[in-house]
Amino acid sequence: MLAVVLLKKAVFLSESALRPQPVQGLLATRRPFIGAHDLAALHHALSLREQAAVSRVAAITAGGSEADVILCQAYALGADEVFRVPWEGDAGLTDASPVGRVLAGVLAGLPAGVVFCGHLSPDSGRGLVPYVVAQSLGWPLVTRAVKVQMTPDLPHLRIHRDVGRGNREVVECPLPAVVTAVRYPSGWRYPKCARLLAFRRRNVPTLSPPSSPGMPSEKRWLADMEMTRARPRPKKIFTPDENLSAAERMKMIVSGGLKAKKGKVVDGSGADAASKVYEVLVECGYAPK
Amino acid sequence: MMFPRLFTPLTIKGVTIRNRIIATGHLTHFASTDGLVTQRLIDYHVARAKGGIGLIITESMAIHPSTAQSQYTIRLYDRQVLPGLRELTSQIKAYGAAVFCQLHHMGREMTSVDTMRPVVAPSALMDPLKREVPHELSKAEIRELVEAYATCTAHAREAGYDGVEVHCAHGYLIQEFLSPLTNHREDEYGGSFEGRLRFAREVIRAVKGAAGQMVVGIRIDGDEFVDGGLSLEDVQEIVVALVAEGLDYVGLSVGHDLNYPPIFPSMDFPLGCFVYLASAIKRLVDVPVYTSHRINDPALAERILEEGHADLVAMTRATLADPELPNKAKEGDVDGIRPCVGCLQRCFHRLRLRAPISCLGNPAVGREREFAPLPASQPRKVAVVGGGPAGLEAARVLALRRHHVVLFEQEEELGGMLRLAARVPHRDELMGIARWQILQLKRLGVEVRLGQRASAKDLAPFDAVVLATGAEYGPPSLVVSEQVPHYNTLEALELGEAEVAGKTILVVDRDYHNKALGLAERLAQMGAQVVVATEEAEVGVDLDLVNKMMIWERLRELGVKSISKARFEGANGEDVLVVHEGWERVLRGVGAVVVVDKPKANTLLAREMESQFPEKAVYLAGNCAAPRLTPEAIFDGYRIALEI
Ligand SMILES: Cc1cc2nc3c(=O)[nH]c(=O)nc-3n(C[C@H](O)[C@H](O)[C@H](O)COP(=O)(O)O)c2cc1C
Ligand code: SF4
Repeated sequence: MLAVVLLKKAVFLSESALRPQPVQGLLATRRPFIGAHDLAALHHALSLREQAAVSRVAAITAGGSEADVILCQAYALGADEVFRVPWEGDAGLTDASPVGRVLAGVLAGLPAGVVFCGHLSPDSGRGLVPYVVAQSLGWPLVTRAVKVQMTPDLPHLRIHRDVGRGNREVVECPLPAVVTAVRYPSGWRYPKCARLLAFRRRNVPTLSPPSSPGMPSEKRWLADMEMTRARPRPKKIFTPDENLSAAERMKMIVSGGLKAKKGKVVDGSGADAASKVYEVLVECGYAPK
Repeated sequence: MMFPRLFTPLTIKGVTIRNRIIATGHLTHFASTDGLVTQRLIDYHVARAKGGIGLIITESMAIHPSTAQSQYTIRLYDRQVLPGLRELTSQIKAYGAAVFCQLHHMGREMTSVDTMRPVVAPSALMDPLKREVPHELSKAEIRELVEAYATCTAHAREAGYDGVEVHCAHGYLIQEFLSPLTNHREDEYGGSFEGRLRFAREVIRAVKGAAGQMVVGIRIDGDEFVDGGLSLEDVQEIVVALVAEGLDYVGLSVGHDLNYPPIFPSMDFPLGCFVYLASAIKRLVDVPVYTSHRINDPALAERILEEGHADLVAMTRATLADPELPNKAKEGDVDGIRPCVGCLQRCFHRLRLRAPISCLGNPAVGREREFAPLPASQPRKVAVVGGGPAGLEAARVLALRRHHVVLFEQEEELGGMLRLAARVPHRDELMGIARWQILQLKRLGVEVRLGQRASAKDLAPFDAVVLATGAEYGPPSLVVSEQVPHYNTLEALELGEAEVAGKTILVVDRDYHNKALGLAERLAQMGAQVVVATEEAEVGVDLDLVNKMMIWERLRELGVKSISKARFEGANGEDVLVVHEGWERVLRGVGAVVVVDKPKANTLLAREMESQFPEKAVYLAGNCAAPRLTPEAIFDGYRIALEI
């Protein structure tokens, strides 16, 4: 089975027609890059390959030849194949809907079992393309994936979704399907130098959609598996210093952890408070005798 | 709901735990001497399951014939235990609690009394507490133990457990392999971090292999608290490595043979003082983490969950003291929860005495059937005389059974001896028991007559009378020197700073429990130089090990000295001659002597009743029957209230 990752050529915010330009000038290079969500999508596809759930991973982008640079990055990160769908306009901003339909047409001609996209791109950030692709193909769409596994028995994906505030929902989704990813999981992937060099020797093949894309196949439904609530992050809590001796650490705990922090208590009447405090300051060396 | 997080279910690998309150493994000595499950053990756990607890981890069970904590240890390696265990798990589950099994090998931290086999350990290093030199395990023996863990996991599965917990804490076999202090091996099971980790890894893999759908977790010490031993950072590294083996949860604990008291933390330890260990682990792993140790209050448990330090909160002794704690917390009835005060008197200490456990405040522990307070068939008018722990308990249970109760107390305040006991440093929590009893009397509408010394005549109209008139301290039973003032326990408690500061005070222990040590601490805190002496082998000879170790930590800091096996052979004014095992020693400048005697039963009213109303049903509870300790007094009160 083939896993396809749809990558968008992202550019810095200053390129965006819909966003203000807060860092213009600073970011003058305008080099295209893969956004964080798209990277997460690529990661999920590659990890499915590592689990032997898919045999190959193909990365596809839409755009002119300047978009090849992100295909190069995807190849260096481990994609088996890369394709570009020629597109003249602005693939992410104003053209999201037609681009989505064209990509769907291309996908309909591939043996793709699962299509991964980033949930939002860092520049336009509208997240429309995956919806259009899924709708055009008639495949289920699962958004905001943070963890993707193949179920052992069925051709289903078990997908952990980030449903906000740290809460997670787990769904099982029949294949083929479109999945959007939101967060790069732990375990960073690094581009391989040999693959970067190999990419230079390749011509990026282009794919064009058939003139009339196929109709949506029969409806498929997601199965809700479970909903887990957010695990709160531990707040800071008093922890004895590891550099203290074991006996000292234990003493701190038995004394409520406050031993080292406890200040000096001065008691007496309010009238001599000032002089008593002054005595303490002298004692501690903060005030002259 | 008052504690929403506490009552949010948690699912671990398909096992749903209905709330976050758990009981960690605790040996009960309710099994038979053949290590078989008894009805008593089932009743004990069923009471907790009915009380609404989320998860019960049953007591540590022996995985191999080379380990036994006592003759009451359940021998999980023997298939004979399975029918009993099946009954136990099915009954616990019938009341909605999940149940895990703790797999245990004690390593060197045991004696061979019960197994009659050599004690085994990774290295032949003597255990400082049990003082037996172990046999160093060969590789073949290690393999046999790993297989034993797998076999016992299969047994637990057959017995219907939802999960198993591999005991890697408390200085037992697995911790002995993990720690550089106890693992001096030079083969692949020792040396480097990886080497020391190997046995734990192999055990977890074997257990996972045999567990099927069961949950597999560990319990591990978060810090060994011994220089050169495992620190929190080391444990973090170990846990991350073991979680990678597929653990479903991690439980944090603390304490072992080189640092014993924290295993059974007494009231010297602040509430929730080891939560930080779980917090440090929870930061690193994705699986649920539990914390334990001195968490006896649902509000504290809720806060621990809210602040994200743990996913489950062990309230082991808290639910031992009050099995209904979860239900009461759910209903917001916080005042109804009988507190665990961390006294250790009837749980841990009875284990050491090789007796079945119970609880200071809850005599029904281990007697769930016989001690169920059923309503009286014929409600009667009952007078209880004395508002100490025995009288309060009798009045409470009598009222619970719908008798009409009047409680007489000659003082203006209830609490009796508990009030005095709580005046000794670090024992103030004891008063929590009396406070709870008093609150229950109010709820039950018991008539309390304070400041009224009941006479035989006052008691005549009642159908039955419970006398709980306590005991009194007479003049000191020993005079060390005629020229020096002598005080009894009560008088010593009244001494002020001005009377003791700068003086050398000799405290003579003839009570053999904690009182002499507690008084020594109190006097030393007020500036006295204190020497505690006893004719016995040590001061506080009958006090449990943990409380004794903890108080000596503080006494040492206060410069308190002790003389055991002491005979007072004479005195010259303030100079006292003491003989100790043939040595003679002169204690110079002794300014005061405190003789801590056992009190004498106050039987005045009992005798009066006997002479004036010989037909009347009169019961003696607590110290007035025979001077003993608080748990026995409460037990008397409860027992008698059931008999009426
Ligand atoms: C009577 C008794 C028996 C215990 N036996 C075990 C045991 O078998 N296994 C274990 O891991 N911990 C054992 N412990 C320790 C408890 O699991 C728990 O860690 C300890 O009581 C502190 O927690 P708490 O303050 O919530 O009670 C025992 C404690 C007590 C009081
Ligand atoms: S005996 Fe003491 S420490 Fe043990 S459970 Fe009861 S109150 Fe708690």
